[in-house]
Amino acid sequence: MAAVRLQALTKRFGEDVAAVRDLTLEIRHGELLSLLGPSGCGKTTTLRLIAGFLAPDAGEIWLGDRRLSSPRETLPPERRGMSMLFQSYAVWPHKTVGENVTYGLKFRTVPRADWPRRLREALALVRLEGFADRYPGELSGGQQQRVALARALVVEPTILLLDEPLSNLDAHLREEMRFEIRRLHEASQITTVYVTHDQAEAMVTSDRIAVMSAGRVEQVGTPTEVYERPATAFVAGFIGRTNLLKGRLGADGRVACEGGLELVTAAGPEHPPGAAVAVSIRPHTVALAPAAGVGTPAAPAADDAWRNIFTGTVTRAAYFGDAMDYQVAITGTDCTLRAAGAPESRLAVGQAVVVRIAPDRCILVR
Amino acid sequence: MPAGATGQGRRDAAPAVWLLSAAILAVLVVAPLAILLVTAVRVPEGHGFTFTNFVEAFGTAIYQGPVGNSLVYATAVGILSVILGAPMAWLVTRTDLPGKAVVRTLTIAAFVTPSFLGATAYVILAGPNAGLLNVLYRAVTGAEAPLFNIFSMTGLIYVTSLYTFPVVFILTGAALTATPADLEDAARIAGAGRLAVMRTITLPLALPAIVGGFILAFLEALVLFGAPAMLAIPARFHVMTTQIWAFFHYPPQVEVAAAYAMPLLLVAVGLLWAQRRLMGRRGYTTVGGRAAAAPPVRLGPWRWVACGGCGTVLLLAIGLPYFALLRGALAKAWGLGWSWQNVTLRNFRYVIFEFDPTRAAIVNTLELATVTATLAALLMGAIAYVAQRRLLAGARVLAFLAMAPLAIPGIVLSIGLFKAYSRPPLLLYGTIWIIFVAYLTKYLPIAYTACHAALQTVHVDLEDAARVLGANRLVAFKDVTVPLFGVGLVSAWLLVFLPSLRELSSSILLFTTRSRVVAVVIYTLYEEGLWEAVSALGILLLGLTLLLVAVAQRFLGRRFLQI
Repeated sequence: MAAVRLQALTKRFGEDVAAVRDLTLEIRHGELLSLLGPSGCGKTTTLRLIAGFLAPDAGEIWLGDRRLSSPRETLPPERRGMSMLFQSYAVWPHKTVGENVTYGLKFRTVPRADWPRRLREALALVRLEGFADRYPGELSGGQQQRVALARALVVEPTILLLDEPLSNLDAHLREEMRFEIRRLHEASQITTVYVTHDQAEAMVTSDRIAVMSAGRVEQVGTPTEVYERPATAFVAGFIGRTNLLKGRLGADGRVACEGGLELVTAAGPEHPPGAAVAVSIRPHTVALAPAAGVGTPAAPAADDAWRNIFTGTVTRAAYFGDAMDYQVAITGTDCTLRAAGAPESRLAVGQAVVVRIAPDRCILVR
Repeated sequence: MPAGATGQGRRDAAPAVWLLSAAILAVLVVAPLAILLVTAVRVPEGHGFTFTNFVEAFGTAIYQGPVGNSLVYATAVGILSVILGAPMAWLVTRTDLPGKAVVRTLTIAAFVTPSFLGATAYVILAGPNAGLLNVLYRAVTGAEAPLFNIFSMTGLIYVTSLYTFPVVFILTGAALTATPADLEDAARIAGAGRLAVMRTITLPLALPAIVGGFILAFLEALVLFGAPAMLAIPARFHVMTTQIWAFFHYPPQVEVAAAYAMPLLLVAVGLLWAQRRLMGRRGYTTVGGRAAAAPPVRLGPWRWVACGGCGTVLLLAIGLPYFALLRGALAKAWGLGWSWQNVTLRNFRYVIFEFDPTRAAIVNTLELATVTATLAALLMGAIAYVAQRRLLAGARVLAFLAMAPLAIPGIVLSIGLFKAYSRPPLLLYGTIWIIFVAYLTKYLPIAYTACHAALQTVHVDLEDAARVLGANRLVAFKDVTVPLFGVGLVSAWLLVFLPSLRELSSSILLFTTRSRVVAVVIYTLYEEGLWEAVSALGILLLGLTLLLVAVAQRFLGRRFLQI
């Protein structure tokens, strides 16, 4: 059940700068969908198109069976019944917290007698009880942001739009607010579009993530899907760290990689043999063991799950406290792989190691 | 060079530097103010203290009228300036008004045009008998009575407002530009239409700037001497400034003038304090983010109406007056009428080379403006540097003293200076040096503000980066700060030089026949009815001013007097 449909949206700034190109996307009723991508990928433009601040150059936006935007006709933002949380919070400095929060109520059919209750509830929701008479200038950045959130939620919007809402907070508060936003979403069930460039933020808050690059959607999926089964090299590289190896697909899911490494992968039918592909391998799925330990019970050599077995040499080792980060040169090839190890693994630079990768952890991407 | 040695030397010099700066500022700012206050409560020509000066000043019926006149005048000018300036600022910063650049440029021209020249031009245009517009009106309609009589309170308010509205324009425009677009977008998405956003968000956020602009326009009119002297006195009424000037006529009543000036001083201090508080109000700054300006409001067919409105204001402020002055400056004789035979450059030769009072005044004015600007820029540059880098304890005291003259009206300051320097040990009265002291004091705040603003763009890290690489403080200052700060110093110099060229309200009490300046000569020639010479001097003054502004904008970057 789609709440909002974006159909083949294109938005250009200037002659040939297309911020959004032919973008099609469905936002389901009651879900929190993130638009995730690097700066300049068109995610904020997409959000402002949904809000109605921008008119598309091509394509349409539908809310249920109602057309909101087309190149010829765009419903102004004030008539869309949406709410938006701005990166700068945009809390009005000349109005008290109470006036800020109740501002939107006067444009809706909410009887004035209900305002105090709605205000109280909204402030309670964001844990700002008793702040109604303060001015924003007297509040901290985090508090101002919660005022903005209360102001956005109090009108019970059809759609809630969040534009990088956490980017002005310090690291500690930011981490806390991720869970707060998820909590509020689960409590309110408002269909939400969340713009961010921070993948951890998107993973924590979202039901689904739309990864964007250069004005297009690369992949839409749950956090688990986009992380574990990235569709494109861009998605694999943008969400988490990964090893990306280019190559050509042979028979039985075998990929001959540039640099001479041959990998067994779990290629599906969507990849025809002979196609140029890239293989994404997450560092934590690359298992390392000292060379002397080959054949120890911990690593059943003949098991099908461990068919990619190589030898290599550790060329770099870094201690992260909760993990070790290694770089390993695979013997007989020009390939190096990054691998994450347990903090107590303590392999030394120059040490010979055995490298194992399960075929279903070698993900083929476009 | 051992860095410790220079550091030691600087520390040792610090108290001396502070004392020297403080002494200079005390002489310039504290002394005339103290003498003014003492004068107001002294027995004239005698010893002891008294309140009779205040009784004389405010208990006498004929001196009470000007107080009321000044209030009406300043209030009306403030209101009219807002009515003209605020909508124009909105049109230029927020809409698709055609010809924005022209509106901005001509508003700057109005900003730097002294209102006494505007008044002169409007006497030429709208004098009841010979004013060009009135002559034209009578010729067309056959009426007896003039269309306008510029010699009236209405005329005075009208002319003054044409040259004070740019203050409101500048402040309002800056506030509108600085309002983050997000604040308006947030209201849109909350359900407010364009008009509701304007009423509930845009206007309230710009209100402090608009009120601040009103206060500055009010104050400017309150302490103005030139335009009231030219338009009110012929209409047989005084405002407070012209009344103070009248107190200096023989026999001079300096003590009564000092007492009479007190309300001006108090109102100026009070209003500037209020203006500062208003503009610096807490909470009107917001967190960063998309501060980009909102897309311009489409006016549709109204854009031509708006364009016509702005055009009319600027035609009245610049077009007609400049035309009138040019015509006067190029006329062989005033009565000869319109023909090419009546066009000559002789008036310019006359005022520059032949007529002694004007020639001397031009030389004096250029000399005064140059010396004042140079000293003000150097002195304030040093104090701003020391204050900003916190090199000295007590630097903020110096900064405060440097900014204090902002609240001292020129004509009030010159009463104190007259009293201080018209007798030994420092007999400056009768020389141009007393006028120099007045100018320097009056323009300290402008110079300080310009230097302070320029220094804020030179981050202290830039200098520290040079010091880390081995340059001592002086070398780092010379190699890094001076080149970057230089533009700021030149701006400060120009911002003092330009108003010094046209200063009238301090000079009018301090000049003698041996020490005249251009503005004073324009006023005395105006009183004698020498229109051709007045117009020629006026055109020279405006020409030099506009030329310098244009050159500065070209070479100092767009930030100089940019609005």
